[in-house]
Amino acid sequence: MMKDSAKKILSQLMDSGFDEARVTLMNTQKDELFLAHNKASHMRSTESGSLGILAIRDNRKVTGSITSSEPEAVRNLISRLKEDVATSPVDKANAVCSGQIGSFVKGPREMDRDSMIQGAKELLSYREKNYPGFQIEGAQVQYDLQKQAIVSSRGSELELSHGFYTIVLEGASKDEHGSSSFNYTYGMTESIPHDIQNHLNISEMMANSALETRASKIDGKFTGDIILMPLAAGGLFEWLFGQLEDFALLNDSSLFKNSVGETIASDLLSITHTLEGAGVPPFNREGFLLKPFPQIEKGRLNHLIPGYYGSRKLNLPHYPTGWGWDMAPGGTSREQMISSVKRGALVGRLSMGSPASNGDFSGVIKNSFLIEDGRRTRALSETMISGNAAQMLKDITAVSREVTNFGTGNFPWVQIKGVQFS
Amino acid sequence: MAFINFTGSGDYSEYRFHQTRERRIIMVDGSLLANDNSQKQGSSSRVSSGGYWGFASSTGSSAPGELSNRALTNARSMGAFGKKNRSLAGDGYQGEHGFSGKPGMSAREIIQLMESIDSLARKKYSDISAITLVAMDEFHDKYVQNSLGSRAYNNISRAAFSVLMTLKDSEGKPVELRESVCGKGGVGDLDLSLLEEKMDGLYQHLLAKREALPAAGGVQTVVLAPELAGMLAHEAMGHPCEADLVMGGAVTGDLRGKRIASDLVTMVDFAHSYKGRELLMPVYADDEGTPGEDVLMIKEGILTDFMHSRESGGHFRDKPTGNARAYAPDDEPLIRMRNTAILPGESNLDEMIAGVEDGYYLMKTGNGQADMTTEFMFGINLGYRIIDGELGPAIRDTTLSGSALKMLGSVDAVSKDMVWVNSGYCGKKQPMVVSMGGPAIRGRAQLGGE
Repeated sequence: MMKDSAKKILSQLMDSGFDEARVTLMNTQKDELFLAHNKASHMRSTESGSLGILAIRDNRKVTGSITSSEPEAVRNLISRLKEDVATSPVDKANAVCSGQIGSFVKGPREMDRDSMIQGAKELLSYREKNYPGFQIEGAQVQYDLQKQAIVSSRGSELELSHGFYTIVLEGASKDEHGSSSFNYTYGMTESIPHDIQNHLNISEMMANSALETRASKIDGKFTGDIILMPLAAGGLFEWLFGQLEDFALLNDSSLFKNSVGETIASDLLSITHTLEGAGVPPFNREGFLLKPFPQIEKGRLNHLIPGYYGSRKLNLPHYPTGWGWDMAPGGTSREQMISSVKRGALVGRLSMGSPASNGDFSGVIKNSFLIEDGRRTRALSETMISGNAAQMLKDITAVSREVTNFGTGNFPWVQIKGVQFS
Repeated sequence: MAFINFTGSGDYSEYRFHQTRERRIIMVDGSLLANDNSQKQGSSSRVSSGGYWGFASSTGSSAPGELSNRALTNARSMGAFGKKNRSLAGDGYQGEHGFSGKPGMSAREIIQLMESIDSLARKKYSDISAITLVAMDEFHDKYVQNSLGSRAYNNISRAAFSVLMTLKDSEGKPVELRESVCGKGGVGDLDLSLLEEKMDGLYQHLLAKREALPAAGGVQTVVLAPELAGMLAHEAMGHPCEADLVMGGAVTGDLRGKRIASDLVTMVDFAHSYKGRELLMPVYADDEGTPGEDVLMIKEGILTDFMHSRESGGHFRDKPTGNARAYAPDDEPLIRMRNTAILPGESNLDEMIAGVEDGYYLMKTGNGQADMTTEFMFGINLGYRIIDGELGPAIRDTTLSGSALKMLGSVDAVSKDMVWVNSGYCGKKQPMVVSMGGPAIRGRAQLGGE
């Protein structure tokens, strides 16, 4: 039904004089249960539709989107795109996906409201019983049903009905010693687990937060190790992936533009593009079916990952990517990692801007603990670390056996040497 | 569709019709990466019943009564969590506040402008390795009605044009800097006449940054340019003064009426106007239909008031301040800042720099974050060392951080300047368009580095 509507709009575009086009129709229904300030707060039901068009005429490209697919709104959008496309420069790299065919159903088809309420009650009761000082600033248990169709003038026809749950928890602790830093965790699942606190590092986050109200600064400057917990490690890998994608490649600011096949990281680092995980759809927004592939193998960079336009513009191979990335576990336990550190920190979260394009960065470590002589000691505040992100990839000295599943991939703890503390 | 024949339900209810239009054109080295227009529109209903909220929205053709019923059902289903008492504070508001700017610039005109800037930059600055140009504007029209008799229309519109220049250092690594012109309205409302002069300045800074040295890590004396002081106001003390974060445990909850900053520091979240002039993000009535009022957060160093929604106003027995704002048609209102500023003082910026024996002048920032503890950080993309009162070499990208209470307590000079910017987004569950203003200030904070 949705695909038929998309094909009709595609026909209208071709009849309007476009040479190529891609049409994306989406409808998302969300039901969300919110907690705020340690209490149930509200429930939301939202329904949003969208029509997205990429259209090309004479090698000139234009894109537009609206929330309505009513005939008059579609006619108006096409008319506007016809005007705007003439203003774009000619670029032979402009193109739409070709020959991508598939129809997919993934995840639960209906919301289970009772399990959402039960999950939220479990979260509230676990906090009250075990960590009453932890203040739930906000939390949500959410069900999404996303229906999507993508068709293109090059014969692509994709359809998807994708249901999944999302759990989000944000908060900080407050007690007679003071307030802790804010922290959060989130992830996607196929169902709401009965023991919600044992997922997404929720119980660990509350336990750590309770200790962070007594945080203090480090004394002086030193060079030491950091052990990044999964969400902190995410910042490092976001920078790395940004370096491999369109923008950095096109504006010539990528440090890894000529590094395919070379070792860019420690041989402990292996990252795979994955389709596993409740939150991962089987095709991407450009309308390309996705496949799993090893992106970094034992520190060696296998591919750059530009989008379709970037790959054509720069004459690079195209490896379509989506949301799912899996980091391979290592052979070291979390306890062994901590016991190997002479002086350093266990880092829950990094508060910083994006590293500079040359990889230099400095940031504040949050929700973090000092490690001295192999023992985790006090919580830290107002502590900064600095270094170079590209060098840090090479300075990984251990990866934990244990991983956390966030619904878009698994992530372990990562130990890195030679970081400057101040 | 705009205002409807409103019928209330539950203990309190509101209805919002919300349209947004966004345009984004991105050119990288003459190649057009994006020429995109997007429009969203939708309606939402929020109902309070039995101490809980229910919310429903649709971008489709759902009738107001249907949305209202769905919202009420959602609120009632929260009864599974037991009874809850809650009071909502505040009055209604009636008024319509639009913006009429200059005629909009077409995509053709913007792209032609970008092509001429790209060509000019390549001619004038022959050693740059890349130039990225971004033009964007967005328009938000909201029609809010509620069971207290509010019937308010507000338009928020803002535009930005930015230039990102890249050149390579002696090791072939990229060095980047960005300059933006931003303002109210669409791209056609921006004053781009000074762009070439600003690009000349940007290029000179870029040459200096190519030779930059690392900053010395640790607590340093810093002079923050006005653009950064606005960010400090927003991140460091603005967020901890949002009443929902106070209810969530922010340290400011215990500090009302106490000294938290030097007496040179006065900080306000303005609703719509400053010194009789309309500001960049004018909120005459918020998305709960509450009239917008200025919030004096810090008065001469003393923490005074928090920013409120109807719910937090009821909780603290304060008047709601008109800070409840929603970004998209399917977002419910949250407590957000509007136009947040540290007020100007009496010092002169040059004299403030001249008064520093060993420190840093920090000029540009990329982003920032705050914490419940008032610990803040923001990235520094452009700064210079100060030695014996004179500007020295540029410093590499770094991060400024610290406890806002200690930083603001150390402020010993505030300049006469007042610079407002509205080019970024604030992130707190939803994005939000905000503006920030400030003079230059001098104090002590932690700098990342060697």
